[in-house]
Amino acid sequence: MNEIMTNSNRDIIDAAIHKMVSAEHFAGGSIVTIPTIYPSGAYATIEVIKHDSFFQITDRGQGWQEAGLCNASRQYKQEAQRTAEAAGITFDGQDMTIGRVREDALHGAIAVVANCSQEAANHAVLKHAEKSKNDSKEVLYSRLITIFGEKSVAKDVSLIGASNHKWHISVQVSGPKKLSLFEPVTNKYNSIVSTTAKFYDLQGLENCPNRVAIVESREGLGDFYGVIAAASTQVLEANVPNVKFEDIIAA
Amino acid sequence: MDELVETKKELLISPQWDSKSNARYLELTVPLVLQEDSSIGFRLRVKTSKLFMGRDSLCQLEFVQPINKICPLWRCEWNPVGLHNNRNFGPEAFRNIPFSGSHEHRFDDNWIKKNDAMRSTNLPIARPLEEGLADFATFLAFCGKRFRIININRIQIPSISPDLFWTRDE
Repeated sequence: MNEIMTNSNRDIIDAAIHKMVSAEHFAGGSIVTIPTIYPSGAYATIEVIKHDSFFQITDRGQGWQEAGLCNASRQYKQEAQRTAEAAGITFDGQDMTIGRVREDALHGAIAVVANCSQEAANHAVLKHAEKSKNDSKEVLYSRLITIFGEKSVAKDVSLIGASNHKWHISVQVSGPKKLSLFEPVTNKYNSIVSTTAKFYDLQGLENCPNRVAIVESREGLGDFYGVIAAASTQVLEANVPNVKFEDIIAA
Repeated sequence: MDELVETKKELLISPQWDSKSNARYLELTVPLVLQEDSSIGFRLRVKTSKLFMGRDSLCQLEFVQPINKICPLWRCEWNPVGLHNNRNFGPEAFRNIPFSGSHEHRFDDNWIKKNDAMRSTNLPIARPLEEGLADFATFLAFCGKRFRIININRIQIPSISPDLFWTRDE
C-alpha cells in the first residue's frame, strides 16, 4: 500500500531534484550540468556565456566529442544537422549553439541545446553500430563471390514478396535449383524485426528462395534467435566454413 | 578479447599531440602492439583540455576492427566536467547514482562474456576512481598500469597555459 506523502518525504524528493542540476562559474562563463544523459552515461554540460544583454548557450561540442570516441563523428554530423534544424538552433560541425537567449528563456534554451546534442549523439552511436551490418555485407559478398563466382552472386538487389512489397536483399546467390538470399543480422530490434518481416513475406512465394540470416553469434542474439530462426531457412554464424554455404546452394 | 586486454602492450613511437583538430582538447591516437605476439588492432587515444588546468582529460584503450570500426574497450577520465550516471545495470553499488570526479569505464564492467561483445553505446558503465591522481603525468602513468602499456611514458606531457576565461570564479 502506498504511504501518504509526508513533509519529510517531500523534502527528500525536493533534495533529489536539487541534486539533479548544478553549475560551475568561471571568469568568462558558467557550465551547467543537467541530467540529460549521453550514451556513455555522462550528463550534459552546457556552456553559458553572457554577451551584452543576451546569453549564448552551447553544448561545448559534447555530443561531437562523445560520438568521436566511437568513431561515429560522421554519423553525428548528419544527425546533429537534422536535430539542430528541427529545433531551430545552430550546428557548426562541432558545437550546437543558440546565440542570443534572453534571461527569461535561459532555462528552456539550456534544455533544448542539451537534448538536441544528446539525441544526435544517441542516434549517431546507434547508426554507427548499424553500419557494422553494412560492413558485414561487404565481407559476406566478397566471400560468396570467392566461393560461387561473380556471375552467380549479386548484392543490393530487389525482390517482390508475396504481399507485392519490394524488398531490399543484401546478397543473393543464384543456385542450380533456387535462389538463396543472405542477410547480415545484428542483435538489435530493428535488424531482427525488419529481416524477419522480409523473410516471412518471401516465404509466401510459390517458389520461395532459401533465406539465410548471417549473425556474429547465435548465442549473442538471445531470445531474438527464435524470432529470426522461425522465418529463416538457416541462421549461420559468420565464421562457418565455406562448405556450409555450398550445401545451402546445392540443396 | 579479455585475455588480449590483459596482455602487455607497448608504444613503438613517441606520438605527437594534435592541437588543431579539436577546439577544446589536445588529442593523440597511437597504435599499440602486443609484446607476446605481433597482433595489431589495439590503439590508445588521449585527450586533455586546452581550457582547464588540472582537469578534463581522458585515456581510452580501443580496438580498431578491419573496416576502421573503433570499439572502445576501457576509458579512464580524470577530473571531467559534469557528472556520470550509470543506468540501472552494472555494479549494484553504482546503479543510478550520479558521481563527479575521476572515474573509469572498465573493460570487465562493459564486456558481456556470453555474447563475446562489448555493451553497445560507448562503455556505459563506470565506477569512481579511488586513487588520488595529482596531475596529468600521474594520471597517464595510472592509465599505463590499467591498460598494461609498459612504456606509456613515451607520451610527452603537454604544456598548457591557463585560459583566464576558464579560471574558476571563486
